[in-house]
Amino acid sequence: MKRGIISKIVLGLIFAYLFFPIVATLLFSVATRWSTTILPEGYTLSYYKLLFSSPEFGHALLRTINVSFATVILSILIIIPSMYLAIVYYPRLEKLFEILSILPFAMPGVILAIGLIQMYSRGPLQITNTPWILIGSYFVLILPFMYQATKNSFRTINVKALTEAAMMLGCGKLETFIKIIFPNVLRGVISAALISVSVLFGEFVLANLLVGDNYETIQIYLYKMQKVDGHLANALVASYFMVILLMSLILIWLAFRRETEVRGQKTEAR
Amino acid sequence: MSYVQVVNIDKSFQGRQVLKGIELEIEKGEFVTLLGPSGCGKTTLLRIVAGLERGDGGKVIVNGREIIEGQNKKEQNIGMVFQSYALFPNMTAFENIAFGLKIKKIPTQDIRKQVEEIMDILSISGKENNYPHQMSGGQQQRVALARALVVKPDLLLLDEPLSAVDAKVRESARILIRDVQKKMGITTIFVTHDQLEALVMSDRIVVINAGEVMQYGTPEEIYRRPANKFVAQFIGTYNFLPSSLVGIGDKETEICIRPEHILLVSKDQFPQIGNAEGIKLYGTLENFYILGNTARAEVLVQGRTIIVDHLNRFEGPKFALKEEVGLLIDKKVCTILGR
Amino acid sequence: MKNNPVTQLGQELRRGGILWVPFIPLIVFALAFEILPMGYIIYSSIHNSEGLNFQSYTQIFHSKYYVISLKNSLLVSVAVGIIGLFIGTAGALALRSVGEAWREKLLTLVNMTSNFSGVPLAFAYIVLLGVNGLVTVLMKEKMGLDLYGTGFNLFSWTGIVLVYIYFSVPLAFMLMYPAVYALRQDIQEAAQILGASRFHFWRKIGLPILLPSMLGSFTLLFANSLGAYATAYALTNSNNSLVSITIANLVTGDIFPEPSLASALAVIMAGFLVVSIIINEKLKKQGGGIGQ
Repeated sequence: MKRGIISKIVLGLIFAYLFFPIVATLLFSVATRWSTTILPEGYTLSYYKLLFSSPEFGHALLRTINVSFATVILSILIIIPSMYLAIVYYPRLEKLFEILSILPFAMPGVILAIGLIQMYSRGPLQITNTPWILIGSYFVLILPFMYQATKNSFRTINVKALTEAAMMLGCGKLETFIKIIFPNVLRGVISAALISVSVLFGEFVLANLLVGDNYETIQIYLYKMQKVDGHLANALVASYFMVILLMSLILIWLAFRRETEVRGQKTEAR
Repeated sequence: MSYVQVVNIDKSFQGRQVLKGIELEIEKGEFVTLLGPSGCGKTTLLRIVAGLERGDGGKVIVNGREIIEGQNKKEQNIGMVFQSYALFPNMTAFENIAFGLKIKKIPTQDIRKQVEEIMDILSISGKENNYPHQMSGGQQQRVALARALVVKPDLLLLDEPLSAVDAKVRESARILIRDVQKKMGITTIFVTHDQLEALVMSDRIVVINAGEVMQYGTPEEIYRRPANKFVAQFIGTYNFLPSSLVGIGDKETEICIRPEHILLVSKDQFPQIGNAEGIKLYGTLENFYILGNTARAEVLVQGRTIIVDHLNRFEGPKFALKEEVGLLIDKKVCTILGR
Repeated sequence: MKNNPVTQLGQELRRGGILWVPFIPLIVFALAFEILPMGYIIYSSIHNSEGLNFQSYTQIFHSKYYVISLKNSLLVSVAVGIIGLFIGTAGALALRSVGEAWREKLLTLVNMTSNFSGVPLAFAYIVLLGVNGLVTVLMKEKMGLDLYGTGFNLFSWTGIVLVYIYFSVPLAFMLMYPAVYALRQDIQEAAQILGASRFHFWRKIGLPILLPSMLGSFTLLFANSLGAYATAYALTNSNNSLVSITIANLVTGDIFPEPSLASALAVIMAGFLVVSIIINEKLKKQGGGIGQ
């Protein structure tokens, strides 16, 4: 009994520690005045109104959405088919994905940026300060997440048997991928995409070092805003956190649905 | 020419030979089972017949057409049921079954008719709109079977389809598969490691061990006259006795006798029954237990344990342990195994 | 000879026909934005205006400034790793006292907070603990405690460590949870029945089981802090000597850029990261490491 209480106190403290800054940010974003009281003195949505009506914010958000979505779609188009082919036809090439997705751990954003700046600031491919270099480097950045999430969803279906079953029924290779494989990994692909988008929405290092003011993403906008207008920046941080919350909820929902299905399958099969 | 011909198939995986010169002929409408312990190469052989794997040498001909790995299987017309069923999780039962017909570009109303027909035969009508995860193992298995059968294949391949369901379902599924196969007259190759399944379902059985055909024959032949010690040991229970003990064959041979072919009698009755042709042995009853509808006795004869089975009748003979008993063996039930 | 992976890959490629074509864009992107940049950094670190040499490396090790920035980064990362691991492990252990349904929900909450890092996190801390932050002011008004008077400064090392710990805790929590979960109740009960005390259990069984995972988690926390840039940058306006900030300043900074020096520093930093990855991979092979 004693142990249970100590555990719950420890948990309570850790959660308070983790959520204090978040709750404070959310409260501060709707506070009229808040300095010497425990709770804000009044509430308002004016900072949000101001933020969402600011054209700079709109543009920065649009840039971030453009770059993240472009990268994620590109990544899906490239990674899903090749991973499928690796599993069914080239099991030895699966190693390639593993190597490619462990390398970014040795090369965090700062290091990668050093290489990219030197390579692409001159010579035939001058793409620093353009969104193109962001798409390229973001592709590498999200590779581990894409690989992990899609690998898991490939694992839950028996890719090889499904392919062979389709083949035995006379289905061509491309048709098999489009009609059988892709619909069955779609949920995993969506999870991978959501995780990737939330990573990219929070990405600052590469954006700051590779393009900076030339392609102001939402994080760079936030960094600048923070020095100009604290309340506005705070509304932005709060919105950002709510977006992350929303994505997490969708992810939980996706995982939960899959789990109940798998569980249902197991108990029924018994 | 046989309907299915397997000619001299070899196959190695990473330097390990898994199939050695397999030869097989199957007639139209036959139900043939590939039976063997796990890892004997039976599934690999099935996959080569399906054209999913390429043999290192030899060829497979089905209905006059050579099967080639990697070729589009539209022409091949071979149906297959996988061990895991491999039902498409994103499709309903109906869509799963209709898939092969759609690929063949059969008109929609014909598809509906044919799918409903096969679902009726396999008693899964009403499950049309269920997704695989909403069905029981037995139902999934029937959908997989329906999906393979609905295209009226020249040859049906079944890769241990009964291994994933529980004992009750398995028993009824054996009979169902057998009945449907006979009704539709579809030539079938069935892979299993379960001897009982093989005996119950097959017209002929191919016993495979370590990549080689051990025996090819009817269930009757396989059970009564095993061609070698492997088959004898693999199927059912056998007593292996030296020829000297029973007095037939020469010194080098071994005699095998089914436990149910031996008659257990009390010592006092022994002299009066049996004819002169019978072999009579004396021994002591070491152990006695009930298996269900049969009962098993272990009798020690000249230092060897002989197993004797008999029907577990309500008023069967009663023996005490360590009692001296007699064993009566007809000479014609003895199979002589060469070395 | 037939078991050679290269010949086997060759066989696979021959059998697959033209199915390798979809791999081309993957390989092109990986080369252009991952492999070649890595190679280029190494090349550039041993190449300056005077040709191929190790001048950049010698310059780094002779310069107090660079050595200190390396030392700072390593110290911060080790400290943050240890503290984060401690709190995270305590949390994971404490989570065992909660029912299963709640456990999943709490874990997803923890996972959510792990997204809270970089510029937004730094900003949240500034709002709370900056010179005019909510907590700073409240403490002064209500408790008469002048936080900044005690030597605390969010925009210095204490601040960096504090904020780094914040983003390390959820990570450590998530990393340690599977290992702690594997330490099932029945193991503890088995030990109890054999007469082990709680202390004995933890010393002889619990800790030895958790230790490899703790080490694995530590390497990941360490690597994560070492590579971090955004949080420190946003907090201190790049006025600190963490190695990641120093590297970035060398290529973009106000002084004229020194790419070779930046590359050499990056290689040294990557060296530490590679070592920690290798340690974790080794542990993983023994069943204790963390990750995929």
